[in-house]
Amino acid sequence: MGAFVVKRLLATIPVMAMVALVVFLILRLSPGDPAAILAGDAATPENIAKIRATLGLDRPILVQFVDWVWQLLNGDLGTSLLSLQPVALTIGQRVGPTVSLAVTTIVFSVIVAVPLGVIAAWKHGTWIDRGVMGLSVVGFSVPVFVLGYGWIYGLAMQLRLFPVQGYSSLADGFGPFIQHLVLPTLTLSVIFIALIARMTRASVLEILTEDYIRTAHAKGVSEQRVLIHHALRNAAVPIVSVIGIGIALLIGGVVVTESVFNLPGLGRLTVDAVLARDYPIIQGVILVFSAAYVLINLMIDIAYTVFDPRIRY
Amino acid sequence: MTALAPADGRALGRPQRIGLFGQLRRNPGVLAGSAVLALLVVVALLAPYLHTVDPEFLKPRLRLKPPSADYWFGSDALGRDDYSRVVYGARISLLVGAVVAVLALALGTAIGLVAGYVRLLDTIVMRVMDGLMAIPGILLAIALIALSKASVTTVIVAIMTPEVPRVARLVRGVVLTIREEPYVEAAIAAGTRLPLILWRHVLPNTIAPLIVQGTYIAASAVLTEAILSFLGAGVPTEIPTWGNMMAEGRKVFQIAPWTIFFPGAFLAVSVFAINMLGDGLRDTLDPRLAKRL
Repeated sequence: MGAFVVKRLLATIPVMAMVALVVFLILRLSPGDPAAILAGDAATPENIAKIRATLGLDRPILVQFVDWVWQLLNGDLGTSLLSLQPVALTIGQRVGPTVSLAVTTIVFSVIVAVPLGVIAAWKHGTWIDRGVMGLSVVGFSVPVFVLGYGWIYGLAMQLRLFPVQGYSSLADGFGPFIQHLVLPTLTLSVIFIALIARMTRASVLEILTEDYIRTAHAKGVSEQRVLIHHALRNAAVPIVSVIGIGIALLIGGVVVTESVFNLPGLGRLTVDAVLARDYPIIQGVILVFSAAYVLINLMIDIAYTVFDPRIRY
Repeated sequence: MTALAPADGRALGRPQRIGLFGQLRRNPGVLAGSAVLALLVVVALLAPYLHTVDPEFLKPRLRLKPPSADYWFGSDALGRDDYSRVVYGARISLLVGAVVAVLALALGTAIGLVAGYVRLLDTIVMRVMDGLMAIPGILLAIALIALSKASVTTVIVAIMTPEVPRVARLVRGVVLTIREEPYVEAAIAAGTRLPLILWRHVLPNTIAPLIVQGTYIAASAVLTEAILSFLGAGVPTEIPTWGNMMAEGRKVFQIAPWTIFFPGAFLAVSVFAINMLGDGLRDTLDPRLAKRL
């Protein structure tokens, strides 16, 4: 187990190096001259040359890359062009709402989707099953922002159950914090619920055909116990892995959901940075999101060994 | 899978043969999905003849009118006819979906074939692909657009780039399985040259999963285009697209919800239709995969 964790940790290094290389190259290989883009439309050639020199863009590209990676390894993500604040600090200030939304979404989705999937598999072929599957295709298709505005219109504007938009930090009390997160969570969860419910149904369905399930039934184990202890437990690995795959989906959804609900998180930060062409911020956010994605999948790989002790790497 | 069994149940003795198109025709997902999609394509092509006005025509006096007999879907904050804008918007959405799917498939297939066959390149190419895949697709697209001028072409390239590694990985996987098959070994023994082996023996095996993958890419491309435009990082705002309409509707949503509702509904229906078509194609063309999901 220990050796596996170390090996798996080491394997993430080349992936992250690749991510860093891609992010670096995106800025360098793009058609525009980064210095000219940074300088803005009204820049003089001298201005551009000055920026190029300060950014070190006149040095060989390999030197620039090594330099940049060295800074990254020291936790220096650069400085925002707009606020002139260190990028790492800006990201740290905005990470709260994003993590809160991601956590509530994953928890809510799992609570709703796993039982749905198990019931659909149990009642395989009935209208319950077809209903759950049909809803999951719909859930995949409704765009996150359309759904978000649907909730705002129905639950916030008409019924006035929740605040329309905005964020309240946990430090200002738990009540307002959760109230502001209900609609964003409902919005972001739908696609996740669809994904997890589908995978749960498929893997439980497969397990239910196993001999030991028949044996369990034969020796008089209750239906509920068979489903939860025998079927779901053995179906856990694919379900956990689909949650890992879904993290990428979640990150994309966070960007949109934060824009719809005006949450001051990393998603809003990304969009604002794009509109203001604040490249260091864009690079930093992409690196942080990608690192989170790689790390979460790393944790999930390790979690496999807990869910299924048969898996030995 | 139900599509594989003849509907009339006459197949007890020997299996009744149904052609591929027969199978496809019996699949409700394929039928419904392609019908809705065909309707949308017709609407997009015939946009000027469908009782529309110029989607950019401003009538400041008639701003934010709710849906009525004259303005079927209402009007937006600048007094433009939302019905015309939605109809014209279908053009961009469908164009982006189709072009992204075709380009991503072509590029991904080429890369996957090379990686699967030229072992020397495999490690390098697939590591680059791993790196690309570790970056969330929407963020990669946003970054690519931020760096170049906003245009439909930029949006297409930006949405396509994150999809390519997934296709490459799929094709590479098929290649690695197929190259061990006896008939490929036989072809090598007979002195068939590599490009011919790839073309004649390997490529046909990738077609079914690629078609299925292509529909999913198209669905996600339509969605991503709308998301990018909605975020202000997509198609230039002067082009009427569903995403742009919703981006403008955001500011007036509380007093004029129809500005978001109609483009949103068309977007959802389009994506739903493409997904249904994809699920149906998967069940028919790729039953092994269908069983797993």
